[in-house]
Formats: sequence, C-alpha cells, structure tokens
Amino acid sequence: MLTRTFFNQIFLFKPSQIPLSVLSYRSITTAARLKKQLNIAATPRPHIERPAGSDELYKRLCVEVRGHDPAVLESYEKFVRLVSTELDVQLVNVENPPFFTERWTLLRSKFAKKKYWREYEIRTYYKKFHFKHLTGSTASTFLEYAQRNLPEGIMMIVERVRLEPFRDNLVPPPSSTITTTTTTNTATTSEKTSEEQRNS
Amino acid sequence: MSLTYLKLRLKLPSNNMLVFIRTYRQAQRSTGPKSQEGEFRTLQLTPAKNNRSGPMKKRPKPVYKEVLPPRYLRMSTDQDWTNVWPTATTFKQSVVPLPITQGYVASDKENKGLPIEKRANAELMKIPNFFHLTPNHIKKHCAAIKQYCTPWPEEFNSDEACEYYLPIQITTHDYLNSTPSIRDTRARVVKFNFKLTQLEFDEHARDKFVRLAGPRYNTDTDELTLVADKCPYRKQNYDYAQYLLTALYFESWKTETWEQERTKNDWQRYYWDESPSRDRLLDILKAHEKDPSSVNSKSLLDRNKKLVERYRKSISRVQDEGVENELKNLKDYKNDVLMLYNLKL
Repeated sequence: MLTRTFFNQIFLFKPSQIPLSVLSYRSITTAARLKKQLNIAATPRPHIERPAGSDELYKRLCVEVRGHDPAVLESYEKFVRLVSTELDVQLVNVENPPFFTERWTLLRSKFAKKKYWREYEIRTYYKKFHFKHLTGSTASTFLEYAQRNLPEGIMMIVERVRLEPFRDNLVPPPSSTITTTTTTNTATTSEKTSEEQRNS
Repeated sequence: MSLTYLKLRLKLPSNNMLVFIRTYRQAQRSTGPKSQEGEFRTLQLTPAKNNRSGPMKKRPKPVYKEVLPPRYLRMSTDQDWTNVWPTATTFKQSVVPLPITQGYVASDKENKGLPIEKRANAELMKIPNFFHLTPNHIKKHCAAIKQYCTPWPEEFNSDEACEYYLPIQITTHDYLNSTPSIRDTRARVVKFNFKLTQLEFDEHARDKFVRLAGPRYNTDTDELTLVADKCPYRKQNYDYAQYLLTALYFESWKTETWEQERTKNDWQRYYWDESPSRDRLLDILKAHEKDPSSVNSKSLLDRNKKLVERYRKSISRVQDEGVENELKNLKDYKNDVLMLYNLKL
C-alpha cells in the first residue's frame, strides 16, 4: 500500500499515517484522522514574563508511598490528609493500587529432602496521593515536611508536573517561504487510481 | 588505660541502702613488685596467686533496687502530649498512658491465657509509631512552616488558562529510598508535554512537524510528548528536550527542494486543486460550452462558480471524512453530480 516515493522515504512513514491511495475502508479512516491533524489554530502566543527566581507552578503532584505494612501506610495517609488541610494544599484523591506479591517456593532443608518445600512471599503495598495546583515554595515546604516524617521502611516516589511557557524564540521564522500545495499534476499517477477517483 | 572499675551507684534517699552495682571490667595490668635491673621479668597476664592483695573478695550478689513506678501513672489527662513525645522515637511503654497489647496467645498455657501487655514487648518496640504526629503535633508544626507556603495564583485555576499561558507540562520524578545512597538514576528522566494548537503553524509546517515527531505525537489528544533520558543529569535532559523542541519547530517551517516532488500518494488530505477530478470537471464544463476552443479553464470556473464550489466541497468531504458521515457525504456528492449534469431526481 505504501509507495516508495522519495518524499515518503525521508519521513519513514508509519502505516497509520499513509494518506489516501486506494479507496479502501482503512484509507478513508486514516485520511479522516489526517484531516483532523491539519486542524490548525493560529493562537498568538501571549507574552509571559518570568523573572529569575520566580516561583514554579505545579499543575499536579503525585506522591506514591510503598511499604510492606498496610497499617503504617494507613496511618501515614491520616497524617497527609491533616497536613494538606493545615497547609491549604489541594488533595484531589488518595488512590490505593493493589499490592504486589513476590513469591518463592524454596526447599525447606539444606540438603536433599526434595519432598519438603517452603513458600515465602514479600508484599509491597502502594498508596498514591494526588495533589493539584501547588506553587514551588508550597510544594517544597509540604514535601520536606512529609518526607521528614516518613516512617522507617517506606519508599516515596514524587511525580511533579510543572507548567512552563514556550520560549520567546518559538515564533514562525520571518524568512520562511510559506509553501502552497503544488499545482503541478504529476504524470506518475496510475490510470487505475485516477479511474477510481472518477468513479468515486 | 589504667586499672578501672566503672560503678553505677544509684543511691536512694530512703532507709533501704540497697544498691545495684553494675561493674564493667577492664583488662588489668599486673601490679606486681617492680623488678630489679637485670632481672628477667615474667609475663603476668593475670595477677599471680602469690601477689594477691588482701583476702579473697566474694562476688557481690546483685541486689535489685525498687524501681520507680512508670511515668504514665503520674500523667494528667489534660497534659500537652506534644511536650511528652516531641520527636519520633521507639515505643516507651512507661511513657505511653494507654493499655496497649500486642501479640497472639495461642492457648491458656501462654501467658496464662491473657493478652500480652506492653511492658517489655519487643514487637511494639520494633514497629514504627506515630505518637510524634498526633493532630496537635501537626497543627503546631504546620503553624510554624505555613509562612513558607505561597498561594496558587487565581488566574490559573482553569485548565484552559493553564494551557494558554503555560502550555508546556514538564514531568519529573524524585525517588526517596531507605538505601545507603540517595541517588537514583531514574530521576534524570524529563518529559515534555504540550498541545500543538498552542504553537503557531501553517498547513505545511504542521504537517511536517507531525511527520517529524512520529510516534511522539498523539492524534486523539493533539499532544506531543518528548522524553529525554540520554544525559546523566536532569538539567542536561531538560536542556536537550528544549533543544529538540526548538529544532523540530524550526525544521518544520523549512521547505526542502525535494518536497516539491510530492506525489498524490503523499497527500495528507485531498487536494482537489491538483486532482484529476478537477481536470475531468473542466472537460465536462468545456463540453457544455458552444465554443470550446475560445474558453480557458479560469473563465470556465468563474462562470460556474457555485456548481464548482459545491462539487469541490462534496468530493473533498467524501475523500477526507471517512466512515462517520459516509452515507450523508455520498448522498450530497450524488446530488451535486446530478446537478452538474442538470438531471433532477
């Protein structure tokens, strides 16, 4: 289906990005998707001034804690809830992903005795706290307090989503030649496709 | 290191002069008689039998003193717990005024069938406790650190405002392990996310940008994702991602000479102006005219502007829009073609 034209080779087309070449069910849907891609909105970029040393803005903060004891995690959740109300931090929700078990079946004896085995398992329990709309200083304060009071044997993973504007240099280059679609009809189009086009 | 006996003598101001002495013995040097010059000194690791001083001392029997009652019995119910347990520490059963038990009793023979108390309970000491983080503790701590928090600016309360003013979302991870090292290589990864509608493009630039991005562009959400993890440090990865973004953007605005060789198979949407359908239509319109040779394509199009416009729209819709409105589009197309041939249903 993909014709090896020079243009295509350069961009290493993926099958889903192949434009309409045969009037088949699949190609109509891909063409529809491509048309959607070309839906350009010309938003003029607003100029944002961010002087050096200004606070960062975190759209989302996700604090994941992992431990072997679910009771400790529950207590930590109570702690985090209280802290977020005291420090005016928006706690969106607390997620409890299912625990993960690692199991081994090992021989009970050092030597021989193949009939007798033992089952071991290690469980990791998870808890995720989702926060939103925090400034950099609030996030640092809250995280430092929460991390200092993290119980023993608990692991924490913090995912931050920071918001930033585009840099000022990302504007259309003034010397760009705005290309229009070529009006030359290429002679390489096969008769078959043109016939199909006429019949469509 | 001289000869030492370390004594812990706890004297009570009571009638009982019972004293519990704990002794720490250290290796003793021999204090035998000093040798004269020339005499061969023998090695004496322990005091010799001949050099005993005084009669044999009897090992003192350990006498246990009466220990004070636990502190929790003397606590008032309205005391300030934040002063009793200020920081995280091991469970101290004499300080905690609660009748806590911990442990499983299998039968009446164990501990007389009673639940295991907190006194000298190793299991209670092993687990982490939250006595240092009661609500009163948290209120005190937060009141002290609240001054370092800043409020979220109200202008960015909505998602749309965030997208418009601050379109890029940069995701980073931090890892906190209880390992000897504080490093984690996964923390170097930086992810850039933004919607393409926030950048200025023309048709060619946008199409080229999307093709250059490849699998990093998500059509459904119109989002571009750049994940940078090549470099060892987070800042380096951030700078690399910024460079990638800039390079992508400006490359998409460039037009290479070989892009002119684009064929019909490379079209990203249906360009009717280049299609054979347009030629066919011109032929048909020419045939309608009385004097075919004197007419050129431009005037033909001008004269039948409405028809041409309708036909162009309907065939473009059929080619581009896909299965959603297929039936409707084909119907419209049929009607336009019939109109073209002046045939009415």
